[in-house]
Amino acid sequence: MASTRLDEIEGLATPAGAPRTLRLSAANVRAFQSLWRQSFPGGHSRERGGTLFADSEGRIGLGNIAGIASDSNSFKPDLAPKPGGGTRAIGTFHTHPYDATENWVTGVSFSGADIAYMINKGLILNLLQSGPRLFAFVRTRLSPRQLPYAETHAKHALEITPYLMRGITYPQASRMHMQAAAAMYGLAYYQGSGRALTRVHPA
Amino acid sequence: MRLPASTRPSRLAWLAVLVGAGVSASILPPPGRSCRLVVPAVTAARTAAANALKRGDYPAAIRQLDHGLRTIGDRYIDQDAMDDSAMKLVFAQDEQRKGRLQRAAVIKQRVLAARAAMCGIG
Repeated sequence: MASTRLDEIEGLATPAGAPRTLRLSAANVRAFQSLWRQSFPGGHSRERGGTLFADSEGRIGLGNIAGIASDSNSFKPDLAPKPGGGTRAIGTFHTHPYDATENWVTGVSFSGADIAYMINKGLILNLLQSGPRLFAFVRTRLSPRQLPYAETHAKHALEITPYLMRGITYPQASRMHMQAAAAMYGLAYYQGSGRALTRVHPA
Repeated sequence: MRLPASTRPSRLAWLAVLVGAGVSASILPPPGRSCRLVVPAVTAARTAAANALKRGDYPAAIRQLDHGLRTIGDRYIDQDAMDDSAMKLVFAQDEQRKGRLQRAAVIKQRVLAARAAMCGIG
């Protein structure tokens, strides 16, 4: 299975023009799974991640693993290309771990800050792992150029609450809400596991 | 155990706890104010919360943690980070609503510790 290359996801006019399936390389999936396993040092959640670089042929790989900093709730990527790595930062990958004190919740999708970061840094691809589930956003020309970080951070957390009040579980609420957020920001949204993610917005 | 009504945050207060910024200017500190200004209050809230947790008084711990989160406001925000702490607070709030006060308090404690660290408060 050939993995998705940069030219398949860059400069898309609309989310409907995004590939139906994002295909990840085996090497990237191994790296993502390894970072997921490393997301519970000493039994405590700690986000892990890295930067997605494209090489001159459009192949997407993970570099700058560990980023600049991370803690149980955040990951600060290092977008600067390094010698021997890809030539251009096109996105990020990070994990959303919840440990025993957080009920080992998995399947939690993106946050508003994840979206604001991607938009404001001009990134094309945002990948996330939470347990076995993978999530992705792909930017299009309908996406805004800038978003107010703090407001976006707040808005999308608050907007999950009505789902919870209807009895929907927290992870499911996060996933449902991110579909709505994708529509709001002209993003294509994907969910999946292993090497393939399926576009769920637009379906 | 459900949190007594008197300790449930109002919607506005909860917005302030959640993220601090851009939510309700009337109850939030102006952006860009130094973290240094809130060190004593945040440190006191964290200490009081830790003591309340130790004695199993989760409603008191939550009150202190919510106060600490409101006090730190948006000072912690780093636009170069992918910050999921507001999501964790929504999760904590949902646990609190369901009466799982210990879990809610522990999650809020960790979020406040992380925000304090991002603000340079040890």
